[in-house]
Amino acid sequence: MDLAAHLAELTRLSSITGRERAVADYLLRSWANLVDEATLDRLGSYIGLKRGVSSVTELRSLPYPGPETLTGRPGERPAGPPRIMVAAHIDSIGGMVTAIEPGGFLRFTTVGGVDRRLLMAQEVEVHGRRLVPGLVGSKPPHLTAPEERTKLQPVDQLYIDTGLPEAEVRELVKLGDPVLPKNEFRRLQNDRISSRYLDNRASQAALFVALEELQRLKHEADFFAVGTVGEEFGGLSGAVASTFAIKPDIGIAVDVTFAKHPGSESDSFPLGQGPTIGVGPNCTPKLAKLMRQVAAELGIAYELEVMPGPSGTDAWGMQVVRGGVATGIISIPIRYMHTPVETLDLADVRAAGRLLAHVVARVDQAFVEELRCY
Amino acid sequence: MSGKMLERLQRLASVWGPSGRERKVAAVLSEMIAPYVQEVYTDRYGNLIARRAGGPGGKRVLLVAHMDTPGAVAMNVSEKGLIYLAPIGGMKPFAAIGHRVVWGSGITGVVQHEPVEEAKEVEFKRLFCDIGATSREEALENVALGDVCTFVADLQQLDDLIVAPALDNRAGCAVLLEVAEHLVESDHELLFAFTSHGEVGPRGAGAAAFGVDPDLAFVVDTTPSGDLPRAPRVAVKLGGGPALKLKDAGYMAHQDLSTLVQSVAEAEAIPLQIEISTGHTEAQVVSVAGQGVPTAVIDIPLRYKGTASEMVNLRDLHGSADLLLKLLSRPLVMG
Amino acid sequence: MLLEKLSNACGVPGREDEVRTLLKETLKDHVDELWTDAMGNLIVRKGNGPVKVMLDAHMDEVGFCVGSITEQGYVLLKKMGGLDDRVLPGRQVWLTDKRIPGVIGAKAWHLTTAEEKSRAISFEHMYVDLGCRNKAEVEALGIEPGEPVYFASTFEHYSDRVVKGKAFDDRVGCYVIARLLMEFDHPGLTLYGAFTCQEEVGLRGARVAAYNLNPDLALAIDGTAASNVAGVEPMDTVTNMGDGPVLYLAEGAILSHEGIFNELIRTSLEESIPHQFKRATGGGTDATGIALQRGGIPACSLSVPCRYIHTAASLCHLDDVDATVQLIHQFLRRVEKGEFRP
Repeated sequence: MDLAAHLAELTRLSSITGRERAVADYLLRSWANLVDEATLDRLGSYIGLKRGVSSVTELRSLPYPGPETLTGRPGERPAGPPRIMVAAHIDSIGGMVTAIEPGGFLRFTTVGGVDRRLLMAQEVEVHGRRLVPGLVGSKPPHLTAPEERTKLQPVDQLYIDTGLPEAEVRELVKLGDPVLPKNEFRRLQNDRISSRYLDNRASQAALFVALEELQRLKHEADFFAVGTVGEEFGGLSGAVASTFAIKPDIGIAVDVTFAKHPGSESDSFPLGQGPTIGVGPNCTPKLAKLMRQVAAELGIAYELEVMPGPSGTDAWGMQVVRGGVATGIISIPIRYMHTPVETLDLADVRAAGRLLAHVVARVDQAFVEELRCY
Repeated sequence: MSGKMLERLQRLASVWGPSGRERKVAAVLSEMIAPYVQEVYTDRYGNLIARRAGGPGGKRVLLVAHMDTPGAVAMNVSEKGLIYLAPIGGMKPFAAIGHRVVWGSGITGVVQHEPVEEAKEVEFKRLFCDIGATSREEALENVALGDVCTFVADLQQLDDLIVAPALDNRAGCAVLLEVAEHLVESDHELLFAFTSHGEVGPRGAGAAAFGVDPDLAFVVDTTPSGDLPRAPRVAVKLGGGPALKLKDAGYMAHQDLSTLVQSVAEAEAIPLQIEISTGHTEAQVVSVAGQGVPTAVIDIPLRYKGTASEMVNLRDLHGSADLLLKLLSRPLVMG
Repeated sequence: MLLEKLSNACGVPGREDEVRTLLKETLKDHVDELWTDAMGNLIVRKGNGPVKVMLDAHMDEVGFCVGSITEQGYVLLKKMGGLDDRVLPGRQVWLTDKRIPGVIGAKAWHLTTAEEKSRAISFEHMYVDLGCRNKAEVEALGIEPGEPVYFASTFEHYSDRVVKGKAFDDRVGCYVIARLLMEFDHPGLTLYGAFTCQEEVGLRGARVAAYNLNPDLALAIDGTAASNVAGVEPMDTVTNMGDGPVLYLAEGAILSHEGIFNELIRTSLEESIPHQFKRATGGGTDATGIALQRGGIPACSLSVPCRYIHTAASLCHLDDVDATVQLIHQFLRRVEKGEFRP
């Protein structure tokens, strides 16, 4: 499947935090031939298992039973092949209808880190019984005093105008319905894409590349491709719960990071020059080293991304589940994060996917036992 | 409506039990729930858990209501015997000024603030409790550093409206007791968890959920209603029935479980309000326990949260209990 | 002296290797078993008694890591853990575990404007000078983004009983636990020393250590801020250096575990060991993370009061350290004898 087409469909789907079913179902369908089996867990995360060469692991044997008798001592790994989990969160930011007012105007609240500077006059989609287009309403310019123009209105003073009469709005829309920015997927020059929700659909695209590559590679480890829910808001619930069930030796988060553009030079990375590999307390040194080695051998360009504290990714939650997990972070640079015009370079998506696949293929029993030796 | 709900509220609203010091209220709750369950125990976190056995084909359902209230801890004592305070569980300084409080040691006192010129100078650091001591030594003989005070006031009834301190969340506890008493037919194994540290974090419910390992969970709590002048815009009012929480500051409702709750409310003609608000509930920590627990929050609308005179409508408590009773008598299968 | 070695050792969150190695070397002949876990925590076990007790101290210190290297050969830093900007300019630092020296410079005072003279220098204007002339020279030294950077401070005695050094938060806690393991036996306990990682970025390592060990009770021993200094009213000092081990009334809005807290007070009164209370609620220790693990673990904090924590040089009083060791030892004896269960 064409990568851009895959991304176009992924970004078309509505999947705000808490309402991720559409993307989870899409992964169940479109990745069915790339994994040995797949399911949705109790919170709705997608879990796909591609078994290692001589593995007999089955998804129905999850969660591994607890409370365990393991104490963290080396040599106490549960029996079976090494387990690697890669988490790419499937939820995205957006809004939620909070009230329907006289005249049919909708009040809404934000879900996750929505950029408030862009809300005024934004075209949106309200996902009720059907997709209802609307506009975030604003006072007309000739009624706005000069000093008001530099200030942002609080979200609870904004509203959505669907142009429909109140009775029809009440038929189509209810409290809690998701509000999304209007979908406008665009192909730009140089194999670059602009769209809403590249955070984090770009990572699903990268996982897709990795799964395809893995069809051609031998790997000892059991590979769990997880589309986690609940990353943008709430407490990394999907990552924490799925890690608890899977009990991986290694957890890698694939997410997006900041790409350079005018006005955003520091803590940003060039577009089209490969993914970033995380370093810092959330990136177990031996794993980061392996990722760098594999990238060097394959000629994949990358940058080091320094995360001195909380990484803002699923890996932060995965690392401290149960008795601890070795974690790593691979990120795809995108410009204009959390806006409807996020922009990426498909070459970076392909490079991230390839790097992931080859890292997975490298992990063996010896490496995993080494991880506990400090 | 049974008269027992009011009786329970009366008893529960007057028991001292701030976050982290819940033994007294746990003892009362233990006595009140014992007749309806097979087993009552306290877990290592200090949560009180009561178990009602289930039958074949039933699910394991965790029902959560936190039993603690906010308070203020004795942090420092001045030479003159005034006890300086720090908040435990979100007590606000302006809500405390002038109120009578009771300490764990049983001593009562009044909370006041150092004199200031303007309201904006009010801060917790300058609140103190006067227990009538005239020296530091005398104060410490009656109240140790680390003791906690909570509001003390009588419960008043105005028709269906109840005014008392601690209704957040003793009202939720009363609802669970009502469910335990009236639930007749159910195959589900029920764990009633009266949890600790609900006002800080929340915390205790996570440990309870880990230990119980349920298939799904319902949290009963209170929520500030939106039916007052200048209140935050929340579509919840007193007397409108229980509120199903779809989102707050740290929790998004599980979609399938929410749909189930709404369909049962509709089928049973129980008025159900929809709540999207700020604030935190146990659902945040219960839903991420273990391999994940689908969790729904049923909130009782409440006015004047965090004050000595919180207000609820008895009908909303009965509506919440009704809704749970109807849910628990069904198979609880999600789409 | 072990505290000296611990204080001088370097270990920012996620890179605690030097401290870990030192503790392994020091303790290996005094404990029955030691191992490291998936996060890098060092766990030691002494004894096989029926009650499992975990003593936790974190190995990491606040510091920095390399953020980026400029074309002219300066190193831009990122903070690891909480650091006040005002204690940073004009400091000596070491980069990487090879301790390459560098300085955080500041513009000559003579060249500052009247306005600049009275304003604190903001972190974004700070950088490290290694004496290199360009980026390539810096990289040739093995310095790359993510590499740790530490305060270059050395331990010394200001007097017989008052010592100065970096990272007393929490090398003093590591020291207390090491002494307990080396100086005493508690055969009625399975005593775990958990030297944990990444406390300064979110109480991380202690949580997984507690999950693995699943003890019956845990004590977290930390170094906490003492403010009995000039210009601070006695009521506002929070804790006093010299007044003995610190018991926490509350951390944030969370009260200390009732049972353990009361038993520690009772122990100190009965054994005539000084103790004091932390009279503020800010900050957090590993105990709050440990308490939430599994179905709940009874956990409480106990700290040594230190002045000027989270700077290049803190002070502590060795009497406070001794008293902390004594208090925990006597508490453990009561646990052993069955006189206390949480």
